[in-house]
Amino acid sequence: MEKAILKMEGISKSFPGVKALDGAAIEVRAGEVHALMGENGAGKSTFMKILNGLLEPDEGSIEFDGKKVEIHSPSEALGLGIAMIYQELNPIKDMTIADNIFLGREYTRGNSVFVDKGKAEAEADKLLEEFGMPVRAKTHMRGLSIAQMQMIEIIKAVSSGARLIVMDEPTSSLTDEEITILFQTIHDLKRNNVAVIYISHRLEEIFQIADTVTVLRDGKYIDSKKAGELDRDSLINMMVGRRLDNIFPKKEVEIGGTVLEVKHITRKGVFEDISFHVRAGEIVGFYGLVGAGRSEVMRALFGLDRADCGEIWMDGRRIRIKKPQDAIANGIALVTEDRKDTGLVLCRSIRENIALPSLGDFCRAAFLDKEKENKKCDEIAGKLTVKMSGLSQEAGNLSGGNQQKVVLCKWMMKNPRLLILDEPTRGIDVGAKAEIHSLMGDFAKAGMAIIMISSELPEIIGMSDRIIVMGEGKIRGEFKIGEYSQDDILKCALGGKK
Amino acid sequence: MMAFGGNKEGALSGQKNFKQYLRSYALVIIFLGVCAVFAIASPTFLQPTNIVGVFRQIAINGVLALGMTLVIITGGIDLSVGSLMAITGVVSAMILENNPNMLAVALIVGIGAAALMSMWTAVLVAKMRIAAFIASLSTMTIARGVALVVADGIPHTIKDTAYSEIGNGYLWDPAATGGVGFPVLVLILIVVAVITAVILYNTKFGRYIYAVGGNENAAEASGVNVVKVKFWTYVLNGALCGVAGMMLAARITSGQPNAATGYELDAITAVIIGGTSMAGGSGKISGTIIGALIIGVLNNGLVLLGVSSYYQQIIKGIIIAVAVLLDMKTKKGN
Amino acid sequence: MKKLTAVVLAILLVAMVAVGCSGTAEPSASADPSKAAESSESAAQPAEDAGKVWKIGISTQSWEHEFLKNMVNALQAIDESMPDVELVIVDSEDSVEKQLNDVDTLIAQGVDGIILNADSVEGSSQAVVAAKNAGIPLVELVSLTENEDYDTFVGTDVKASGLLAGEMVADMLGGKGKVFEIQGVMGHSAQINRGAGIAETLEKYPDIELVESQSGEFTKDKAMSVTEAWLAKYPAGEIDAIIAHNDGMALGAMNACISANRPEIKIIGIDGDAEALQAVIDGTMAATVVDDVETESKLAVEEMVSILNGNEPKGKILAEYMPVKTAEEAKVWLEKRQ
Repeated sequence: MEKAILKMEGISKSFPGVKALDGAAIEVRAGEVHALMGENGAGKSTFMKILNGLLEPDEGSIEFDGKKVEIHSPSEALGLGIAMIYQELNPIKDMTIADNIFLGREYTRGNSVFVDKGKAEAEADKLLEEFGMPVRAKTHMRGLSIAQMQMIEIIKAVSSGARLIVMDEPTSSLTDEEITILFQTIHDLKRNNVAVIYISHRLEEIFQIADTVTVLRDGKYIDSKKAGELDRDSLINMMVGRRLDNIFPKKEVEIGGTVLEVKHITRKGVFEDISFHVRAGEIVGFYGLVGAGRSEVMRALFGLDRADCGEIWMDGRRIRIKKPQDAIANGIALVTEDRKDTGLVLCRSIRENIALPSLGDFCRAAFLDKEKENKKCDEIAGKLTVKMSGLSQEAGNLSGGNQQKVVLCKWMMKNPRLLILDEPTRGIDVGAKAEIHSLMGDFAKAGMAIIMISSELPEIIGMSDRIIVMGEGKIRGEFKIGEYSQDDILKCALGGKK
Repeated sequence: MMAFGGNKEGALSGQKNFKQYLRSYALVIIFLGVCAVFAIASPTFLQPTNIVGVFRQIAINGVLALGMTLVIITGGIDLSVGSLMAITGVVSAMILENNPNMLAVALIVGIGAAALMSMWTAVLVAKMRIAAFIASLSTMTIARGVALVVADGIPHTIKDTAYSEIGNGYLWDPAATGGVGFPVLVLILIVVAVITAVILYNTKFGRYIYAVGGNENAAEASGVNVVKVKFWTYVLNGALCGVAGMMLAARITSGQPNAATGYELDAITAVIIGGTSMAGGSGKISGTIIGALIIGVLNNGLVLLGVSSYYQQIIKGIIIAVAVLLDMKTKKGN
Repeated sequence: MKKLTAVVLAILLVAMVAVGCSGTAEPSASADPSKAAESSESAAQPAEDAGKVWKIGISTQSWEHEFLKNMVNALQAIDESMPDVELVIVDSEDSVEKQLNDVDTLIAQGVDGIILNADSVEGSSQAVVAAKNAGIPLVELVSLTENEDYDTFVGTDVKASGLLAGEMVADMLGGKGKVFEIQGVMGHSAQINRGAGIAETLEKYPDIELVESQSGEFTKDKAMSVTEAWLAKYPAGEIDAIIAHNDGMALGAMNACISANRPEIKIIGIDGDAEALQAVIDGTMAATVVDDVETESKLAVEEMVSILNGNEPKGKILAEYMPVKTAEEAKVWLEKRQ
């Protein structure tokens, strides 16, 4: 057994009003993959920010390679041999791969200030080959896929002599194939005695790749166990402190008449000849690989993009949707894929976010009826059990799950006929996920038609009455509940490629 | 490591309120600090006539800064405000030159002209999606040219006493009452502040201004007509520039085509000191007013102390940086 | 938070104190309350006590222009040399609004009189009104306002500088030659009046031809490019002299002539900036017309004191322009201005 390379003990950190960490700890050995688990808000991010020098702990100690250290900045962390690969990558896209790999430690000609481009590119090419990347060092980052950029980050970390790499949700935007390559790389890292702290919400991955698991809950250290000693249920139990009997509480709902009917809509180069329908009380799941065109279809339905041709019918009437206002007026609501980009105004209050599409309903003459607004927002936030200090709290201060609930509140206020949910539980912890699933069931029961895009097979199978599979901008198949196996759907999504 | 160990816990209820309190607190501290220094250094500073004078001195920049606040909350900027002011001054002065009895018409047309001119920025920013800095730079140059063309390059004196009363008059005559008067300019500032506050806090439009500035994509996906909101924000700002232009013309009793050069920077400074984020999405009317007051008090106090104008500029620059730094610190809550 | 606030306040205070020092080194000792009270008392009955210190507020145009800086320097020298006045000099930074605000502040401060170096003929008129309303005398220095309620104007007849410059050119050329004129910002009162003076003189000499007039917008670089264009267009012998509406532009013309190796061209400027005086000493510039702002400043302060002591205002005091054609003359002025 290797000795511990990193030991963090008794780490505490408070923010005004919140104790984010309360005696968190972790002990990582060289050459192991150590999964750091916990629900969203358990303190994982804060914990890793402290390790990376972005935050300073109030209490506690860090020991790296047997020595007590204080880390005040990411560059200090890097100097020690600790590298971070963030959930949202931020490479400099207009620079080449070589430039990015050697950013901050450029080769120079002798002792001059001039950069030795040739050497950097030669070295970078060597590294790329070692890691089996089919690209050249001269390529600009902009041309790479997210998975490739991530690989470049890993190469950058390893080549700078990192002995501990922290990966925060590295697979969240990767395809299955890319994940396989990433895992291969992680195995290689292990062989080179590099330790990896791996953060992910995808439990399957943990069992696939981790050697050890440390669980945090509410900022506290819960336990560390060998991955082999755990199973799915016991791990979830450690994380949430309770056993989840059914994370997909599909409710019995009577399905009514057709609400939405889409006929042959096409947007050139994006999606083609899409036709489907959704009935009242029905949840239709859209499955496909990333880039299959699912989100794009929904954006067109909601008026964020324009379809070139085709018809959209709601409740037996043909409607035209040119902009989101048209869609909203026709009872369509869209919970977008990216809460931060298109879902919420993070710097504004929960109240303002919830009321945003409905402000017209709270106006008396030109003026807002704030009392009415407050009452309605409070009502709906209560119904959807948003955990907040009050409606005036900034939306950006909420956890992912609560942010998603605020987005749902926003649309429930409009009482839509059709609710479109694009990856509604991505990046949300297990507990909040179950709550959102339960809410979806309630909405369906109330007669709403629901479309749900998800890339998680268990979720889509657990929740949907019908599953439509898309690939390369087209509908590849449709499955009714009970008429399929998990394999059928995956095969359909992968199409003829396999 | 224990640097922040003294952090208080237990402010759990109303974390946001506490922060907000700190935020305005920082501004008020700077303001009072500056005032205290001047009050100690100069006996004139706290005299009623001087205090009234300070308020009158900030009135024009204040109105300009209020309009600018709206624009900056949408995540934009408007560099053309000084040029727009010049248009209003010139147009209204020239109308009065030819039609001595048409003050109301002159003012309405003058302010309207500024609003009309601001539509150039509005269209470029809202519809054509040009960066506000560039779009308003274009308007700044065009509007200055328009003012020079209309005025034929020369200043036009305002002989109408009612017009000049707007800039130099009082609500009641200070000589008659023996006390201090209430300048008309300050009344205009108060009215504009109330109007902008009502728009920002109590109307749908105001909410949309915040939403568009906070996250344009999310606002659009929530059914907000982003183009419309931006367009009208710039036009509203243009109209307020017109009001400020009228105030300046009244104050200097003439419409000058080269008036108000560089005023955009004072307005932006007041907004930033007032805690409005250049990134958009947040900002308050009260903050901007305090920002304008800080600038006004600095100008007044440094003149009272007889500080060389070279040093004045250095001090003002430092205070801007300190104010914004302090504001940032309190916003982080740490 | 507390610590931060304290630090900020400390910085503020230090800044203020540091500045306060430089402030008190300058005229205003306004921090002394007894003095301020005293002077405001005396404002009520100015005619009676003649032997006391008069506090005079002065609002100027921007200090960034050399001519005005000379004026400010002269005023500061006067402040130190005259025991019976205390001058508070304020920079309006070329903003009419700031000038009006500054005058209000000076009045609130209780000055006995105001000397106004007006920013704008039309716009600064309101400062005259403010002084009248406060019941204190106002003397205008160098530049005039439209409002003629001021007590006295001290300055020059701007057109006279043009007349003088014209005469000097005619003299140097012996009444015969080709003259070029670089004008100021079109429509600016200095451009109009200086231009008129130059034209009027040159008309008296039938053998002098005013070949071209172009605007150099009162800036050195613009004047330089205007001159370069002329030098390219007119070969040697076709340009005898260049008159510029100010010294800055004359220096620009001079640089262009030196680069083009055309030293025979005589260059005449107006104002008497230090650099131009040096050029006259060096012989690279033919002459300049000195606006004797030092004398004007002194006359203005003396006139103000005289009014405060109860004498009748003189209404208008005009200073003469001084021709500077020789190195000796230039040296005298240069010493005076350094």
